[in-house]
Amino acid sequence: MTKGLTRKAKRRWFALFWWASALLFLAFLAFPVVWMLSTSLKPTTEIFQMPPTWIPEQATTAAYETLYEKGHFLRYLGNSLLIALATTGISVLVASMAGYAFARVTFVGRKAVLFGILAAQMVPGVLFLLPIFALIKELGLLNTHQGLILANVAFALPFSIWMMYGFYRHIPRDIEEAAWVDGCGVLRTFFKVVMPMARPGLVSCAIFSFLTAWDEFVFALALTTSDELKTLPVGLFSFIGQFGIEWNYLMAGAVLVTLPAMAFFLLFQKHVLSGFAAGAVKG
Amino acid sequence: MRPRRSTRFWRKRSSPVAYLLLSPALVILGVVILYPLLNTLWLSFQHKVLTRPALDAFSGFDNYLKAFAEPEIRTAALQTLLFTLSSVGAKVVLGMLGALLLNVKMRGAAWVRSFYMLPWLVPSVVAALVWRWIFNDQFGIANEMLRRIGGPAVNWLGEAGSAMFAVILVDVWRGLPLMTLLLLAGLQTIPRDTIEAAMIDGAGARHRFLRVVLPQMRTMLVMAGTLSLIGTFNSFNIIWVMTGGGPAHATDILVTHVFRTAFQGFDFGLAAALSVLIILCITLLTAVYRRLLERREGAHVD
Repeated sequence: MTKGLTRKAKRRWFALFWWASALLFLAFLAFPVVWMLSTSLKPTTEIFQMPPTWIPEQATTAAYETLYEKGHFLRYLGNSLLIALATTGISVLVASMAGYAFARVTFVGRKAVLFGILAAQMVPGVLFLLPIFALIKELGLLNTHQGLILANVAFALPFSIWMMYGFYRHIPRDIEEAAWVDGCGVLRTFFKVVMPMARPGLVSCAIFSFLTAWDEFVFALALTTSDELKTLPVGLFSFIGQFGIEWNYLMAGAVLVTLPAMAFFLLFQKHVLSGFAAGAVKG
Repeated sequence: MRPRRSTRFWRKRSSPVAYLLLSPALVILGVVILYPLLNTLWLSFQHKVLTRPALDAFSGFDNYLKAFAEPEIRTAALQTLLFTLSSVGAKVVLGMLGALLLNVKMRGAAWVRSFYMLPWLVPSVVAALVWRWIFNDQFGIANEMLRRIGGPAVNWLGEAGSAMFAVILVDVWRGLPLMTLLLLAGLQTIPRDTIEAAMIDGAGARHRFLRVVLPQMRTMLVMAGTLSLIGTFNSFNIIWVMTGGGPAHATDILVTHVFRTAFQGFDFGLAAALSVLIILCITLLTAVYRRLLERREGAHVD
């Protein structure tokens, strides 16, 4: 069919085809987000209007205001940020140290430990809810943020270690050896010379840990009971009971839970994509 | 020659330091993952139902026998298979198409790529909630779109078949960006000209695509597929918030079933035995994945 066309014409047809397919994909991937945003800006009367409207006819921020007044949303936001950032800080540091050791030193059982860590990454946390609940209780950390942070760090660590291991393996050893020869200790070399070189890895690791903690729901639900300690997903879940079928409130809450994750992503987008691919592919 | 000398240098100089660097990670994983794992293993050999503490006792393989005998568990296992295979299949096919699309150099492609990642940034509880609203049988946009093309009103989450379809769709929606990202990373190791020529030039080139590009992508496809298999197997949040495993257990998969066994039936022993079986399956899949990784690394020695 396209045999007689010139190269240029073919290119143009291809661009048209490309955009058509891209828009098809984006329509599927983006419409729920658009619908969420649109619903959150509607007054209660309009969400039950038939036929539904894509763009709110009487756009209002009433749902957000109600959440702000009744929903303790700022408190949940603060809790989520605290837990996600603490998880990120700890797991980046710990994973970076462990990943370096795995990349540089051979010891008996190293392969087995690495495999165990990989398998740990694959097992769903839900299965460990009961024993971890018991453990946190024994440690006296039930209904505290520390307990939740500990659990989140443990869930973020396996993949983070693998990712950092992948990064350090691709950093040449000559530089650190030169630093040792110059009389710099191994630990100081690691923190001052090697870690800064792995910055893209550290950033991907941070994003991953942050998103893991931000997304975590079941443990936050089980390990904290008082309202002051709730995280955003748990708060949002409790809205289902509180606001019933008032979907504009629920969607406003959904938007607020999603925004920080998006902001985090947009800030570090470049690193995320390369880092994740490296972590998953290069291993 | 040189690398070997430097490795020896490293070993001599810093073995104790290496253990120091490893210890925080090993302590945390040991306490929060390994200890609960052993705990689960121990519990799986006990008869332990919270509501009947008087019957607590060592029970050997009873829980495992029960796990294989109970019809509800068999149903959940079959539904896990259906859910996982359909979702992963759709993700691999759509992800491959998406990766081919995003791999093309085109003005505006960067924008498309950013928007493409959107679902991945939506926390799973939020995703489940938003789709629950989309699939609302009275006021949802899904039925409205159906109505416009003359379709019937569907009680999406209220009927077995459509509820299963809905949770699979949502899982595909949320997992597609990451799948595409992985396949894109694999695609980028193949010269772009080869692929683009195949896409633009049509018929003859399509054969070339099947013969040149796909074979090179095979390991990558299997790897991403395995990874996704494990992730999908574990999609607890989406199913739990969307349907709770219902209606009438129609969307129950193993993970949600374990959760229900433990926290609604309070049969901790049976739940532990099921967990152990699931973990065994996952470890097996992980071993396959690891083998693939190693083979791939063997092919591209750096």
